[in-house]
Amino acid sequence: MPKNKNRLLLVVIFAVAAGFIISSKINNVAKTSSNIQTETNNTSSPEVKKSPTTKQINNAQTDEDKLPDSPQSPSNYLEKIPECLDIQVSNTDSLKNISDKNNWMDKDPKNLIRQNLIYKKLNQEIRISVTPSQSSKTWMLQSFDVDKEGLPIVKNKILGLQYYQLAEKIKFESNGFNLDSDEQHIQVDSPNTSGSILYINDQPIEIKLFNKSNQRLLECQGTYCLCNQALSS
Amino acid sequence: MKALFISLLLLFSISSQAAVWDSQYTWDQRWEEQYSDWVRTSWNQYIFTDKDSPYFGIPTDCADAGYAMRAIFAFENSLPFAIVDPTKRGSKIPITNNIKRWDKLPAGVPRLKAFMAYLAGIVYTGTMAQDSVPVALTSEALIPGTIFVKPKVHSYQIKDWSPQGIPVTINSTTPYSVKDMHKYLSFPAYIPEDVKTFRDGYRRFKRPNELYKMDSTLPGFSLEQFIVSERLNFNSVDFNDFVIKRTQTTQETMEDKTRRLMFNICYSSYNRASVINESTNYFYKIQGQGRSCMNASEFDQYSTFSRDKRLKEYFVRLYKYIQRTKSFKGASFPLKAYALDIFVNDPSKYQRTRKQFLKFCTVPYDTGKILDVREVWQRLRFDLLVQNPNTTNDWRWGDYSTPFTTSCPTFEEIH
Repeated sequence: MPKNKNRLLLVVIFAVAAGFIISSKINNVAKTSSNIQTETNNTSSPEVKKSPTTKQINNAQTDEDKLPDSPQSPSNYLEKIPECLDIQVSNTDSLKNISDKNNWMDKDPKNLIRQNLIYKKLNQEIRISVTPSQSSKTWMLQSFDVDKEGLPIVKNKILGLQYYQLAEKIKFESNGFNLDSDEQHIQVDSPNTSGSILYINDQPIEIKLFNKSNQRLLECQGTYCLCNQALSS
Repeated sequence: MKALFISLLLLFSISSQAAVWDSQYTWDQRWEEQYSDWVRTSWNQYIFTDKDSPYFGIPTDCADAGYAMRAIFAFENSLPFAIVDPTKRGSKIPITNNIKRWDKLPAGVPRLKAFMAYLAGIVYTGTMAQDSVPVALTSEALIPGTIFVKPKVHSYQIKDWSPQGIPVTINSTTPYSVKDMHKYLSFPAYIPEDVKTFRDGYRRFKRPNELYKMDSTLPGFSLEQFIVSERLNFNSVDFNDFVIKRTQTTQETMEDKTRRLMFNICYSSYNRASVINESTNYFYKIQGQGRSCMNASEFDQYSTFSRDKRLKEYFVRLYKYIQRTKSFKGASFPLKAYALDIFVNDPSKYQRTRKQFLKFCTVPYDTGKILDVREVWQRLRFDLLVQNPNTTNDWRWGDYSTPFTTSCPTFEEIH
């Protein structure tokens, strides 16, 4: 009798499990199709107003639909920068070279908005964010483990660090791991231009510059770049 | 039995594929309008402290409250919630309501609360810019649900906009705790100033499908506020007057404005008292544990540098308003004498007695000790208030004219 009871229990459990799997699959399919549906609806949704930038995008001959899926070499967009602003950046420049060569780049550490560092060892990843306070007199260091979805798990948060303490703390938090990626936001300021450049591993990834004289925003992300009218009509 | 164990494990692993909440809809203009209506009618300063609120018990400081506003509406309406992962910009994997980390918790509010606590650990006012986009200074853009961000300093949620062109703001602040938020009929204490990177000012939250697009391509994107602010030499009075003219449908009377400015002074002073009480209690607590100084994190929680700067700003606004309004002295309305009295330095020339002033606004700051707002201003203008949390109520409120000194380390706030 106990054996039979166990078998019966097993049958019930498997039946429930199978039902669960099937229903979750159905749900997933339903969700995917509903997502496709809503995405499609979104494209024709009346709220997607033509932004004042549309004309500029066309003028710059950039067509979002034609963009390749994978990012291209930075040179593809960097060479377009001088069309809008007179700044000198080449795709072979490292961050240090650029900041050394260009007096428009503000090298004050207080203008380092936030620095994200990613360390890896085998399949394990840890992230460290360094954030200056408003006056940069003290710094905040946060460290994170990463879950299987690639999302951060809060590990440690240290406030009130002095600048000279940062290197030591970063070394401590990343003990035994190797630096995999280094993200920095650098603020840029010149008589004609202001903005910021996001570098990841010494490569400019995202550029937001504002031309003070004609009030245009130059914004580059990924593989293309354009000039926009700053004032909405 | 081994088979039974595996079966149970299988069942458990299947049921653990649960999001914080399931999103069935997609953000569009119709949902944005509903979100704005919801903020106007349902987002309030007691949402985390009212025992009848489903969100009772959620702790916040300033940035968390803004994110919570957007997330709670999304949660209630089965909409997606997504922000840029602030720890890895290149990854393009956003932090969303689909995280399955809290599947052991019951679905619904318990998971939402865990998600809120998680967000609080990774976001701060410095991350709000990448999750939002600057908007134009128009009544169509400055709607309920908009946020005002001063990165690394403070943030506000715009709950409503009065017919006179004044925003109704809600904001939370340090310490990170369960508390009433502040509701003001008042402009934020800051104006857009970041003409380099445009990370501050009035902004709307990005929809999930907008997170990795260029800001300038998004509907409603505008740099107008930065240009206006720079043209007005970053003068907050002029900037706010500009916004008032843009958004008002009714003129604010002199009496209305005076009442508004004085209410903000009273409310901020009163609020400081409760924060300082909390701080002093904590200070006694660590002393009881054998420590005489707060660490950096505690210092960040209980210092009042930003708060006192805002409090001073409220007084300065009233002062400037009186100075700039030529007809003020000739006008006649009940609060006028009180407003003028605040900035009279010689007590023998006061128009109102202390008793009258205390009836208008009492600030209880220590056992058996109270201040009226004239006294608060006198202490503020002579920099007698102490922002350092490593001391007691009397020092924090400027009972002593000697400069405050401490052997404890001091730190800066990061919000």
